[in-house]
Amino acid sequence: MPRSTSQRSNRQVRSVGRGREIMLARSPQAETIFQDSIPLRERLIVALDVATVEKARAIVEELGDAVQFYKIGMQLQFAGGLQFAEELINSYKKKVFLDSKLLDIGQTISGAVENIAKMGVTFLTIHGNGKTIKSAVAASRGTNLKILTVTVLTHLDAHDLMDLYGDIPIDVEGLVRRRAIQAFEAGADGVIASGQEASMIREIAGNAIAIVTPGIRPDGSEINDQARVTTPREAIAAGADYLVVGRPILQAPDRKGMVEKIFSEISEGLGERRAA
Amino acid sequence: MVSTLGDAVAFYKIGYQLAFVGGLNLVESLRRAHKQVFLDFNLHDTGEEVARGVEGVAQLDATCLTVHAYPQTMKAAVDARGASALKILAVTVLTSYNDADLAAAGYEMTVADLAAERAAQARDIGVDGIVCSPEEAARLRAIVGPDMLLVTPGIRPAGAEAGDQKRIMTPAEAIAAGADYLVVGRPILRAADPKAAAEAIVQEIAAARRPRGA
Repeated sequence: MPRSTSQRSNRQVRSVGRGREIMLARSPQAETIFQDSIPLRERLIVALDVATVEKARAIVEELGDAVQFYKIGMQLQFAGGLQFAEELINSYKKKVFLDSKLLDIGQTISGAVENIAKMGVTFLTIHGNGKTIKSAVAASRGTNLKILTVTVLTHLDAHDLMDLYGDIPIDVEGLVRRRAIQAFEAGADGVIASGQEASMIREIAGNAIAIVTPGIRPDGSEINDQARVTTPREAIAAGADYLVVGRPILQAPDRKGMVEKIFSEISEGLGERRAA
Repeated sequence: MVSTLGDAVAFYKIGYQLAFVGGLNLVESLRRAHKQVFLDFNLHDTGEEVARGVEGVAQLDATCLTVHAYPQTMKAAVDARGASALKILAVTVLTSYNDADLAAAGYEMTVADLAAERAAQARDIGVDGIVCSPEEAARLRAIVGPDMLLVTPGIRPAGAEAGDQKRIMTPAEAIAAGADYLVVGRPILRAADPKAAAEAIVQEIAAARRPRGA
């Protein structure tokens, strides 16, 4: 598409958020919620990236007690996944992360968040700016639902961001930093961030927020469409609290074996973090 | 509400709020009642996730689906729609956002410029239409040409409250500016007589269309 360079040249990259004090919109007691107190078995969230509820149910049955936390994304959500989320919560006693990535005007977000909280969902993702996040946080108050915000989708790299923001050099880290600060100031419970960004976010926000990391590939697996990936050990050592893993488990010949391999990598990462 | 409005309304939008309380099942019953359905899910995720979401929605037999107007998201949605009848609409900039909100998100552009840039990207990628504020409809119509659909929320009949929408217009103004479809919620849902409110808006649209159609 033709671009007008003169129109763009007056836009500059700003150093975003560096050295800025952030005000966390939550109580000091909240500061110990995450990090060490999370049971090991809840640190792995298995993404049910399959087309039908039948396939999802078979995976949940197969993994049994080894997995306590499941993510339902775009695909399953529109194919009976919302009812299956309630089945996971009520019948299987699992925790559910609904990865709906909501982005809409405040009033619409509030209505959706209230209904999702009633379902008993644990984590919900939203996109958007400070006001969107505040609407979601306000609507979730008094419920067990935690609001996670998406900083920058893990498949985007600096080149894609130039497509979005124009022909100016954008550093992914700076944008993630800015979005993370905005999320914390608005009171979000956590952020979705790549393993590469976890330590930077931990440095900004301390222990008051959860860092949930997709784009995890155990040693030796394929990268697929995720541009910014880390291994489970690296992500946890860098400060991630929860890891989201889909294909490396779903496509493994031995799914349970892969789950246990990931848990042992998580344990290693926790050891490194404590030693650091 | 659907039975209250009866024949006065042939096209419904289902958004997030209803989607999480059985709204997806409602799509089927609306289709059976020969209504068209616009699923306003504003999809935005990695290309692969968007593609899978669109495939799922295409099976629901809805008429339109919204995705956010990011190039990768739009490309994935258009490819995944394939030969199905589902129309992909791209949301340029949410109607509750103003220039200050964009600046806070890291965009050093005005709402109008960002909407224009995303509309041009949407046109180049081949999406079926765009969702935009009525204020931007005239400018975006010039960018996307006559064939793409322009769908505008943020419609408030004269005298209605703005709520949290920042960039609003009356039905007549929006149609005159080049909009094809108007999305109206609260002004009808909260009207003492929703059917009369819907009919009044349809008449306003008909009156506004006359000069263009003549």
